[in-house]
Amino acid sequence: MSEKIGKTKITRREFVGGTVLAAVGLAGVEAFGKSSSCGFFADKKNSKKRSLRFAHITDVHIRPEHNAPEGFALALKHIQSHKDKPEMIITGGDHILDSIGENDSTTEMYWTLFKGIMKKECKLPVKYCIGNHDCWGGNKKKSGTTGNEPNWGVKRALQELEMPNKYYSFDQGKWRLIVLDSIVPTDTYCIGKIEDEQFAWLENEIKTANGKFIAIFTHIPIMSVGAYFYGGNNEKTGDWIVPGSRMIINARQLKDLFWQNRNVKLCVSGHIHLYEHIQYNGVHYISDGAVCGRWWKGAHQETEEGYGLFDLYDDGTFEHQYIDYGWQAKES
Amino acid sequence: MSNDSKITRRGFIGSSLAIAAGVAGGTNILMPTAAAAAGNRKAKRSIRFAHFTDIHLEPKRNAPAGLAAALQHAQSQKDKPEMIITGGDHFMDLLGAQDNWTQVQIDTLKEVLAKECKLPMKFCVGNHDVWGWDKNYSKTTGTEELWGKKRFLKEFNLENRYYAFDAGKWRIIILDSTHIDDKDVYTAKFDDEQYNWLVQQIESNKDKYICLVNHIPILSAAVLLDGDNVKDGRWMLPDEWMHLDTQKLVGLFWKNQNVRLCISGHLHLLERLVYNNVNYVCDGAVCAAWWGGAFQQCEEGYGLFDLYDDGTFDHQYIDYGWKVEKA
Repeated sequence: MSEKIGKTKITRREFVGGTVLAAVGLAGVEAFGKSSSCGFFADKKNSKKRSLRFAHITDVHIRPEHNAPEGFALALKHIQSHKDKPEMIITGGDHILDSIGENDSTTEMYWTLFKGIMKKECKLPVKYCIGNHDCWGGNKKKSGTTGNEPNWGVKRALQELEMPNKYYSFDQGKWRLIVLDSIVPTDTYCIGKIEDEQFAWLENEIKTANGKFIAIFTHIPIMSVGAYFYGGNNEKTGDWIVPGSRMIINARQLKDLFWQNRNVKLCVSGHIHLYEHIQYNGVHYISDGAVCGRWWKGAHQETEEGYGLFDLYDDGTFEHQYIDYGWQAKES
Repeated sequence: MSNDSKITRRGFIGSSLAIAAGVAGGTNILMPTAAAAAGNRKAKRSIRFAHFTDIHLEPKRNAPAGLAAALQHAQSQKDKPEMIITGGDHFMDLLGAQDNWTQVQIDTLKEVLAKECKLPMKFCVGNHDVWGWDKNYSKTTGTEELWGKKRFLKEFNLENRYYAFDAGKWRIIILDSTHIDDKDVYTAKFDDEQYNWLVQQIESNKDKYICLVNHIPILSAAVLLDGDNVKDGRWMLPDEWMHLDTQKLVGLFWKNQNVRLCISGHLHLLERLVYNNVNYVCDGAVCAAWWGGAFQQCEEGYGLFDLYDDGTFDHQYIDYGWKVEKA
């Protein structure tokens, strides 16, 4: 928990507040002098090398209505017009409006729309992450599926997006990026969970990272305060209830895993459509808003339509911006 | 303690720049690094204060020596804080304490402060500072003259259970999170009287940045992981763990945009988060696990805050080096 400095043992966990720009909030700061891979007291004046710059687009929820195709094209153009262009796009899931309760042809229409825009507008390599709305037919009654369709459930998303697996990892500079599948479908919707097999795989990925820093991508957040704000009057009911679909239900198990392995620095998620940044036990949890805002009907609560821009550095630090790409939702 | 004023900041600014209304899309505003912000900060400092929350003092557990060590540590900072603001729960417990034991706890705190603290102090009321609300254990009737919060207010000369003061470009507002609840002692929220006063404070101080200090967090995710809060596939929080009136407060802060910082205690966990441009810091605990060592991943510590004239701030959680003696 600490490093010896002179005679006194101190642990510093810092937080640097706000910036001069407008009403802009703050950020977190690296923490934990005790982490051997972190070296908190090392001189940082040396210019730090960047491992990767990427854009994180989550919750596109593509649909024909509300000018969504135009909005998505604008977001992709915006991402690729940065002077300092991102090297890749990583998605946060929910690429299409919905397929949990949609039949085969509507689901097909959404995927065709999504893939068509990607093909036309995106010149960057893309890494995909599964969202709950990407899994076909979970609600059998509404979708008219039996569950025996060869591409039922997550299989359809894997096929459409040509993903190697539901979860996978890749190394980039001094970082290992791990993309997880946080969706456990239920009869009507889903819960957020990293189930045993995947958890064991994750643990192994973290433990064998060989000095690399870890960034984890899930659709459903591991930690979130935005998860509280989904309607209802909790002041009246006298308690707080967060559905298991809104925050990964075995988050405590993940938190403990991260604490044992101090190389995990960053967890990025979507799902909530709200922007927030939490720092807890030396790990940063960013819920990265939504490309579609309120499903293309404008800002969702206080969060505008946007995407995340990340710079991961060789010393385990990173920078993040949530960027409003300027989409204006049209009336009707 | 060495190196106090030359902390190496390996930080970064993760901005929420574009969600603020009125910031045009398409502009990639480069954010200053935290290192630059700290090293070449142009803004003047409004105040530096130490935040001592969840002391949970009693004569046992070597607690008085622990608090003395924390106070000495804060006051020996090379760049000394100008004051100490507490975060509530000064005592192990007054809710269920009988009269005599209540007085012992109060006198113990007074003694340690008289001997060890040379800085001005501002007190914030926590749930365990409220005398006798648990009538069963405290053997009180509720008709005692100093029952409830009155005893703490009188013993430590507080003008009120909530109040505010200016510090440079900031207005610091101390609030009372603990609301009486007939069912199970207390609920976390601001009562109407206090909320209306808070609205007036925020609205009539538009030229100031606002810092709130109250005991129970207004917003926290760590609170969900604090215990086994998963029931029937859902996360469930009792009404004592986090403010119930959060939605109302988040709306108030968004409307006014001058609230920058909300500091709390209660959880004995260290958490920092940004939501809608407001920073929420849950600032650990001086006593950690009620003087039994670290609580979960959080060591005994106190917060050191620098508030600057441009509305920015720095925060450090400082482990003052307390070691629990093993029996």
